[in-house]
Amino acid sequence: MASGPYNYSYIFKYIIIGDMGVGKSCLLHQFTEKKFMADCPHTIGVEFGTRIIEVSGQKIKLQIWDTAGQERFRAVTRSYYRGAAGALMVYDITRRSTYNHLSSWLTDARNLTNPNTVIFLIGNKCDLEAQRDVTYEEAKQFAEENGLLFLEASAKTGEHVEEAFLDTAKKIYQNIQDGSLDLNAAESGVQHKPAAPRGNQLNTDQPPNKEGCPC
Amino acid sequence: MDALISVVQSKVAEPGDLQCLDCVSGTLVPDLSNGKYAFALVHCPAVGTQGLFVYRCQLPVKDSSDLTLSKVIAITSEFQYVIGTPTVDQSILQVKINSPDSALVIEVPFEPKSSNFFMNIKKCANVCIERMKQSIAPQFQWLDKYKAQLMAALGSPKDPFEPATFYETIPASTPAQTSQSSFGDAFVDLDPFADLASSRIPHRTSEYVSSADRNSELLTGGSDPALRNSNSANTLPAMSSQNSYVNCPKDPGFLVDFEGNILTRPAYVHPAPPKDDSSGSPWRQSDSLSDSNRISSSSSSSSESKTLGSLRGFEDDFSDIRVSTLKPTGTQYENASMASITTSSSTGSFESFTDQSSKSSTLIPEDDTDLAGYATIKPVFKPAGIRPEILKRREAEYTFPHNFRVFVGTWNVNGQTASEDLGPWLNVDEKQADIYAIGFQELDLSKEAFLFNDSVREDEWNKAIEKTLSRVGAYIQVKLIRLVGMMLLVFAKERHAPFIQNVIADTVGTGIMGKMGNKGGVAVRFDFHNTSFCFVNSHLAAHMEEFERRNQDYSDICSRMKFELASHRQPLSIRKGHEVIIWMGDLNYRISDLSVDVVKVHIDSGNFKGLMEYDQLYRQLRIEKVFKGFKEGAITFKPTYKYDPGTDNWDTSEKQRVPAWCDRILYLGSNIKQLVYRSHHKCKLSDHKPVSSLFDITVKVVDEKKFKQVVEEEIRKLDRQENDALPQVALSLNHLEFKDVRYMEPQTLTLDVANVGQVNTVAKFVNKLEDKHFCKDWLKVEPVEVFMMPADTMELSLTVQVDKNTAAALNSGEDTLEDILVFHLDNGKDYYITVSGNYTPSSFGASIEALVQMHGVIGEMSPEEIKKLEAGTRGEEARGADTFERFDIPKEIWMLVDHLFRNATKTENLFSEEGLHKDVLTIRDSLDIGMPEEMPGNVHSVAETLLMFLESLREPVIPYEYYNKCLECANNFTLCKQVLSQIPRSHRNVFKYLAAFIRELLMFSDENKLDTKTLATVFGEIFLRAPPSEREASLGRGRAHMQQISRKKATFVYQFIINEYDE
Repeated sequence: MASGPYNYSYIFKYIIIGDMGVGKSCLLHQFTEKKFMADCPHTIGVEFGTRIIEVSGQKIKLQIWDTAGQERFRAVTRSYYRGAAGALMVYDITRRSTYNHLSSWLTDARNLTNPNTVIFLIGNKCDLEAQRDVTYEEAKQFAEENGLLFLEASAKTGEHVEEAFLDTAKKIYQNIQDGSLDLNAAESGVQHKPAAPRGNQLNTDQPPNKEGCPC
Repeated sequence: MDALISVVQSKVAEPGDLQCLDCVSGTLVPDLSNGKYAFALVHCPAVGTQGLFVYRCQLPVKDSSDLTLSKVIAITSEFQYVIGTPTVDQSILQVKINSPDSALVIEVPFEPKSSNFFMNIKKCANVCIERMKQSIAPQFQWLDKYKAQLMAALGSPKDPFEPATFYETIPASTPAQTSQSSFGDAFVDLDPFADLASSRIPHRTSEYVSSADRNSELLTGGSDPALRNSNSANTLPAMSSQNSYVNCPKDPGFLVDFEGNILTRPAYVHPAPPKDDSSGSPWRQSDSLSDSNRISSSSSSSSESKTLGSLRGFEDDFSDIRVSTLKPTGTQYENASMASITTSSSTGSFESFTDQSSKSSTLIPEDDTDLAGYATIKPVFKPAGIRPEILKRREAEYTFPHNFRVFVGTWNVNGQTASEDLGPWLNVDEKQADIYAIGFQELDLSKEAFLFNDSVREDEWNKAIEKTLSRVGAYIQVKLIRLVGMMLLVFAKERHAPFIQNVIADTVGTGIMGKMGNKGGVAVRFDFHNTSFCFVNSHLAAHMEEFERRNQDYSDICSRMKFELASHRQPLSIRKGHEVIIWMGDLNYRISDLSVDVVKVHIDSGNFKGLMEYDQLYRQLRIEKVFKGFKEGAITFKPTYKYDPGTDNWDTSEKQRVPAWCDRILYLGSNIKQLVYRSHHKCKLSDHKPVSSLFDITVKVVDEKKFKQVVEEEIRKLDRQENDALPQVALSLNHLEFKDVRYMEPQTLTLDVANVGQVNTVAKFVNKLEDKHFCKDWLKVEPVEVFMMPADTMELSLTVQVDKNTAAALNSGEDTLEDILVFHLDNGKDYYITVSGNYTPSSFGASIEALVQMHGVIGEMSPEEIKKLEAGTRGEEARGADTFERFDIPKEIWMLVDHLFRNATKTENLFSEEGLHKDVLTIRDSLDIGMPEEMPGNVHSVAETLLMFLESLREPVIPYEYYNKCLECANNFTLCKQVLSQIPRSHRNVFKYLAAFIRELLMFSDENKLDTKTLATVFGEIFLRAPPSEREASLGRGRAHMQQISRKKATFVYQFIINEYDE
């Protein structure tokens, strides 16, 4: 049985990527805190958040790495792609440039993650319909062409934020269930946590230690 | 060792090396020969199996010749025995033994030795079962020899088994024989063990056979409801022996241990799917998810009660959920072929329950007008990710109180059949109760009930109650639990079914040996909405003077009753984990210290209050010896014990019992309001009168919406706590700007890092992807790693220092003063610290090629011009001439050398005495920014600056690509000259110029004390620098190697000092 306030059987690692100012940190904050951060400073570094969710009766702990979007950090943030089970790729529906850069982000995501990493495209700021610069249809098409899950969401109103994070987890869980995601693979981004005495597992619920990864 | 064991040992050791593990003496039942027998547990070490050997004894038993083998039974996994109760004088214990090929009833002394003997047998049988589970078939061939011996001895008149006839099919008995058999009935009392197997004993009279059949029905009935139903319905005559013989091997069987627990056979024997519960022993059927939450389609009459689930064994009757759909007749629901809902005995899954509730909701008549808000409530399930204790604390926020009516009744029915209408007991109130909890004692006084815990009365009374309740409304059975004569039934209105969860029952026997079920208690616990209930029905020790024993029974029931709940690590007990506890039963406390007559006078005068002072329970309760904390309503009814059955007359038997309030209902809990506490004198069939009480119990009903909100909040809170518990620091700056960084002039900026998190953290700079070092070479950070406790603040200092190694790249634009440092918290996030700055280009770090093309000082040139010059200098010597005139050598070198030449040729320790750093910087400025008339600083500073300048050259005087050639030919001046002729002209010019200067200096060696070797060594190191690609490799090759290289470098320069060189 569980010790501690709650327990879970899997840990999924997520990364959030995309141009500066598309609302990556706000999405994370909305997801973990159910709040909108109005004056969110640019992320200089990598934020880290966690939340327990439930998928098919399984408790899953999401470890979410929210990366800096500024171009100058691009080389550095590539370190974090490794071992991600899910990648949330975010653009801003009111700024076409952020949409135009998606292929570059996607290239990074494809090159730096494992083939089973679930990539979810999020068109953020869908509350700002009046300033829309990217249509839903074209983004949907882009997502379909590239085999991405897709939703338009709003970190401000919370619309579709849960869905994006949860659907990603469902897809990952499905991959585990149908065997396409090998949990034993080093970079699956998923840790299984059998119901064993917690004493043996002290570190499994911690973010991976930097020293452990050769970056 | 026991003498008998020794004799048996000697007996079994004769033909083979068998061992007698244990032995008891006794007799056989029925015994026509009145012989004494020895029962030996014999072990065959070769195969590790055991047999039960029965020897007829020639008394006194002195040696093995006094033993005659009369029966051998293999102790297989199917070997069974049932321990009976001791005889009245407690001297003899009957044990029924049953195996696939044999059956017998034996009597052994009632003493620990006998108990141990059977425990040993049980262990052996268990070993067999374990083996079979592992698919290892136990071997019993070694017994064949003995069986053959017995076959050979066929016809011995002394052998009660008579093998020749033993296996014959038993002729069927007729119904007539059964019904006429008075002896058979008597036999039941005498011999409760006569059973299906003993029915094969041909010596029995026909009466005997038929009575045995009757018992076999009881036995098999316990595990086969179909059989039992047919019995109770009287649709079939007594079954034939043939049938029972046929049924025997199919009968799942049972074992009884010394605690009186009936142990079903392990699941693998059964055709039923194996249970998935791994916690229990293989013997015990425990509540498991697969057994719970069943939905039964009941196509039979609506008032029929069905036991769902297993046909496995007696115990299952308790653990399985019963579904009984009781409908008021004549309603639109009567004919509905419907799925009724059972409650779960453990937590159900969300899906299944939602499903059920939706089904049931369509069927529930909206009859409760008083439940306006309640009617819309749906069952809420506890989310998996959060601990229940956390939600419990905020219960008040998401629950609202709602009163439910609970009827509690208790009746000691003295073993009578359910022949009386129960309406006067159960159906006397206007308002329908939401929950009925009904306890019986002495439901069944038969030996079968006592020994096998099987009772036809159970079904009988259950049906009687269901029938009675169905006249009131639609009720479902939450649970039926029975131990011997104590039965507790809990019913709830059908509409409440989805809200009753975690139904668990347990029993505790406190009777004979403190364990048997003739006394004790049975209990059912469940959660109704968000309030936990526990109903206990007990029958405590009898007899006027035994009140302390009753107190003890109460304590035992409290301590031994356990409810295993999946969501709780510790099992719940009656008093721990329940908000509503209602305890009913024949508690057996009497009115003491008053004579029968006095008591009756008080009763007649209605002085119950006065009489209560003599009530043992009242007294014990008051001094907190029992039922601590429980409350009992004032008794306003006559004592319920003891009446002549069928009347309202006090006991007229010889014993003339003092009337007593044996039958009581007590309660414990803060939200319980007792409405009425009464007896029911219209019910006359027992020597007790039933008692009942109505309660209004305030239950916490969950408001689904609010509950979800609270769950959401709590999960958020936990996530936030977890996120807050991540290490967190604050940096005073995340960007450092270094302005006008100059060669050899370090600049330091600091920033503060504060641990603003709640935990200790180790923070350190870590490498970026594929970088060898966490920062560029021109940056120094101190400290690299810090340990910080919460609220600690540390200063990090970052120093930019451009030196000979890093200047060239910054001059040429290959590198810039830009860097990103990753400041990582162990188990936490990363902070980026960006560093940037502008570098003031210097002639230091420039290339000779670029310098010779600069007419003015470098400080007057734009960085772009410098970059262009540096870019154009890579091996493209000739091109510069097109744009403007080139100097032969960089003017900076000329200025430094010229100054030394003019001022320092006679200075001692030139090139070995250190200059002043301040001077060096001034000299650097004079070279980079403006050319003063006179070189500042002393000559040593100028000399050092010259060396530093040469060292910082982007390409050394001898370019990297000639480095190895030069070393190779260092000993040969001709070759040296050849190499030198190949290097770019400006480099050669510098080399020649400096060589000439060295020779000049040596001309004054008397004054300046310089020598050729010293200068050759100093300049050798500067002219010849290993290419960057080779530097690291040579570092690892040891001191001797380095010295050898240094010597070669010096030799190369030496050649040009001592020899005259001209192109």
